[in-house]
Amino acid sequence: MTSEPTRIVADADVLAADLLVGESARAALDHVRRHDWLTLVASEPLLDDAEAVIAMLADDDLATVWRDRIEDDCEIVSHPAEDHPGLASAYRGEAVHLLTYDESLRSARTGLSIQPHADLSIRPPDAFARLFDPEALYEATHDGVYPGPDRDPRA
Amino acid sequence: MTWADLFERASEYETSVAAVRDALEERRDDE
Repeated sequence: MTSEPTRIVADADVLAADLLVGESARAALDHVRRHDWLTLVASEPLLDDAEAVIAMLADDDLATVWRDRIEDDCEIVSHPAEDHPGLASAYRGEAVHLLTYDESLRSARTGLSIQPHADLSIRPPDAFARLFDPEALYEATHDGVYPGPDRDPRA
Repeated sequence: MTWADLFERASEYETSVAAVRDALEERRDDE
């Protein structure tokens, strides 16, 4: 399976923190929102988890309107129900980046129901936000010069 | 709804990354 450096998965904790906390999760996902050529990949179980967390910490109505919006912004992939939603979304979605606050996911590659593929970079959102270089990635994956951000991240 | 509107609505709630992590672990442990 070929993974694509322009395809990114944010685990449910990062998606919920993007909405409810901001900080590094929002900075990381703003990279994706700013660039039409980056693809946020998720599965229904992953979005179910994030929606449930938002409902637990905020309210059901906010969780519902967030779900409506994030589904418009995501490419949805499917995976077996028993798989870890973040890892499986990255694997099935051929993503290179998995953003998560889960240190165990980042450090322990054993004991998981699904093994991360070798190209998968599992990082906390602050590291992604700091190190992600859209200009270098654009020029590695497209013809021509990086045109700069092409979307309003708050639209 | 725009992301600006969503973030504005979400700003009514005060939470933290730790609370988000705990809520997610609770949900995934329950499944």
